[in-house]
Amino acid sequence: MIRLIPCSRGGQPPKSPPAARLGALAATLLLLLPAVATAQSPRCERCHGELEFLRQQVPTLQRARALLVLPEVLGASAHGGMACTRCHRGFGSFPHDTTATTTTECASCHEAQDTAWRGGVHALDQGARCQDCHGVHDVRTKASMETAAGARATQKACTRCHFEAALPASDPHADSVSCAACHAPHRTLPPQDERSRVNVVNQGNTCGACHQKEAKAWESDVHGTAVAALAVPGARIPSGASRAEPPACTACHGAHGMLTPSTPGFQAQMVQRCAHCHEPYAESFADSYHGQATTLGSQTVATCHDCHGAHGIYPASDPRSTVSPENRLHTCQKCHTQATASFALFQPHANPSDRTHYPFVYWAYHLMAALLIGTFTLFGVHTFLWLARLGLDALRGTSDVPKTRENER
Amino acid sequence: MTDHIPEQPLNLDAAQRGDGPFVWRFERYHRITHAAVIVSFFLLVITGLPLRFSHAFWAGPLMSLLGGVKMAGILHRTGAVITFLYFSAHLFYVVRKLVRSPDPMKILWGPDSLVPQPRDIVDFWHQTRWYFGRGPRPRFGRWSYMEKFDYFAVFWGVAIIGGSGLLLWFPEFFSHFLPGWVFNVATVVHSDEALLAAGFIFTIHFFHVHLRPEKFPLDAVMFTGRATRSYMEEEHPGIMEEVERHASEAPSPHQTPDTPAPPPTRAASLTAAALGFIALAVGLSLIGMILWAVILY
Repeated sequence: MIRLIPCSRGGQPPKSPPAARLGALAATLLLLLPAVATAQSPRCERCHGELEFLRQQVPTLQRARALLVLPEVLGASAHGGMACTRCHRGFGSFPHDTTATTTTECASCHEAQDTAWRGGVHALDQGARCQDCHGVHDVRTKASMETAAGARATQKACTRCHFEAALPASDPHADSVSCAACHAPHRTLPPQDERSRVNVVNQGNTCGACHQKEAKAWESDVHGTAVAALAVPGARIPSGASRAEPPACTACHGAHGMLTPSTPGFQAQMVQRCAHCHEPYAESFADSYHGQATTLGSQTVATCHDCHGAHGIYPASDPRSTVSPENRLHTCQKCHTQATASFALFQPHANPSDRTHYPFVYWAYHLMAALLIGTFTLFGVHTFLWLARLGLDALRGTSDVPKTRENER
Repeated sequence: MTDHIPEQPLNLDAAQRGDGPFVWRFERYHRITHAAVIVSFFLLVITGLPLRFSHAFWAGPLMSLLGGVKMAGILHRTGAVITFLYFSAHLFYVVRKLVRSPDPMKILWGPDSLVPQPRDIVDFWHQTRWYFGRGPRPRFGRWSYMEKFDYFAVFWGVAIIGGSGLLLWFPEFFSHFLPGWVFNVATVVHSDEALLAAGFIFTIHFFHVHLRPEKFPLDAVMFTGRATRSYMEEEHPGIMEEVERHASEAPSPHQTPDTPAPPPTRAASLTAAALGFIALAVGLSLIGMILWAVILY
C-alpha cells in the first residue's frame, strides 16, 4: 500500500501571495522602470527573465528565483507562445494591480482534466495540484510525457510524495512506463476503490492495454472468471483457492518491483505467490524434485506455471488445461522430450498421507518410515546397551578389556 | 627409508594398539573397494542431502558450494557411476572367487563365510546377555554379525538406492516399461533409503568400528589392512587358531589374511589416520545437519 505523505510542493491550493509583499515589490519596480507595460510576454521578460535584475529588486535570492521565468523554458513548454496574462490575469498593467491573483485556475482551459482530478485523491488536502505533476512554466506536453524520458520524469515527480512506490531498476517498467500508464493520471483512486484502474477488477483492462495477449488468455481462465465473478453480488470464490480475493495481474506479478523470468529467484518467488492461495499444492511441490531444486535456486526445473500455464490456467478436467489428460504429455515433453504416455502419469503433487488418491506413494512412504524407525531403534538400543555395559564395567573396575589394549590416551 | 629404526605404533589407531606382531586382515582389493565406497558414498550423500532437506538453512549454502543444482546433479551421478563400478567389480570378484576356490562351500557357509548363519544368532544372544551382565562377550570369528550386516547392507542399499536412482536418472526410458506411479514410489524410496544408509553409516557403523570405547577414536585396519595380535584376540578370538598356524611364516607379500604382516610405515599410518579422521568429521557433521533439519523443520 502506498502511503501518502504531506507534500512540500503544492500542499495548499494556490493562493495570492501576501498583498503587503506584492505592494512593496510593485513600489520598487515603479521607482525604477519606465511607466508602461503591456500584456505582451516580451515586456514581462524585461523584468522576469533576468535573475540579476530581479535579485536587485527583492530582498532574497529565493524570492527572485520564484519570480524568474526563463523565456527559453516557457517557449519550449506546452504553453510556449501563450501570453503570460492568459494565466496571470490582472498583471497586464504596470505597476501590477496589487489586488490581482497570481494565477488563474487551469480548469478555465482544461475543464475535463480538472473535473476528473476533483474526483480523485489528489484533490484532497495534501494531495497534488496540476503544477506538482505538470510543472509551472515548464509545462510538459502530453506527447513529451509519453516518451521514455517523459515517463521517467513523471516517475520522478510522483515519487517525490510516493517515495515507497519508486520502481527499482530491475523492474521491467522502470525505464519506460509512466506511473500514469497504470494509475489514472487525473482521477487517481486508491487500489481498493473498485473504480481505480489498478483495482483487481480493472487490472485486466489496465495491464491489457499493453499486454493484450496475456490479458485475453487470463480473462477466460480460472483466475479471470473468478475476478469477473466479483462483480456479481454474492458470488462465491471457486474451490481450490483459499483467499478471499482472486488474482488479477498484480497478485502474481507484483506491482512496483516486478520480476521478470530472468531475475534470479523469479521461479521460487512465483511459487510462493501461487502458494499464497494454493497451499497444499505448494507443499507437495516442495517435496518433489522440481520443488527441491527450485528452493535451492535452480532456474531450469519446472515450477507451477511451467506445467499449469501462466495466463490461460484451467482445471485439469477442462480440455483447454495444459495438465488435462489430453495435453499433459505434450506439457511434460516441453522439458522431457522423450516422455511417454506412462511418464505423464507421474503424480507431481502426490501426497503420501492420502491413501485414497495415492495408494502406492502412501504405502511406500509408510513402509520406508517403518524400516527407518525399526532399524534405528534396533541398532540404537544395541549401541546404547553396549555403551552402558562398558560404562558400568569401568565404574566397577570389572572391565574385560585387556590392559595392553586399553586406550593409552 | 628408515628401515633400521623400529616404527612406533600409532596409538590413535586401535588396530595398532597392544602386542604385536601384525597380522593381515584385509587384502589390497578389499581396501581399494572400501575406499571407493567411502568416496562415492560421501559424494552421493553430500550432493543428495541438500535436496532432501532443501528448506534447511544449510541446504542453500551447501548447494552453492557444490556449484549449484546442476553441478550437484553431475557430481551425484559421478558418485553413482563409481558405485555401479565397484559393485559390478565386486560381483565379478565374488563369482571368480567361487569358481577358483577348491572348496566354494567354505565361502558360502562356515566360519570364514560372510553369509549370516545360526552362529550369528547365538552371538547376538550372547552379546545381549553380556549387556545385562549375564555372561561373557561372544567370541566372534572372522566376521561379527555387525560386520556381516554392514557388508550386506551395501548390497541392499546399492540395489534399492541404485535401482531407484537409475529410474529417476532415466525416467523417459523406463517409462516405456513402467507405469507413472513407479517414479513417485522411486522418489520416496530413494530418498528414505538414502537417509537410512547415511544415518546408519554415520552413527551405528562409526560407533561400532571407531567410536566405541574399546577402539576410540579410530580403527584404521581397513586402511592399512593389518592389525596387532592383541587386536585380533579381542575382536576376532574365533580365528586365533588360524593366526597361530601361520605365525611362524615370513610376512606375506600377497597380504593373505591371517598371515604375519610387517608393521605399517609411519607415513601409511598417518595417512590412514588422517583419512579416517576426515571421514569421521565429515560424517558426523552431516549427521548434525540431518538432525538440525529433522528437529527444526
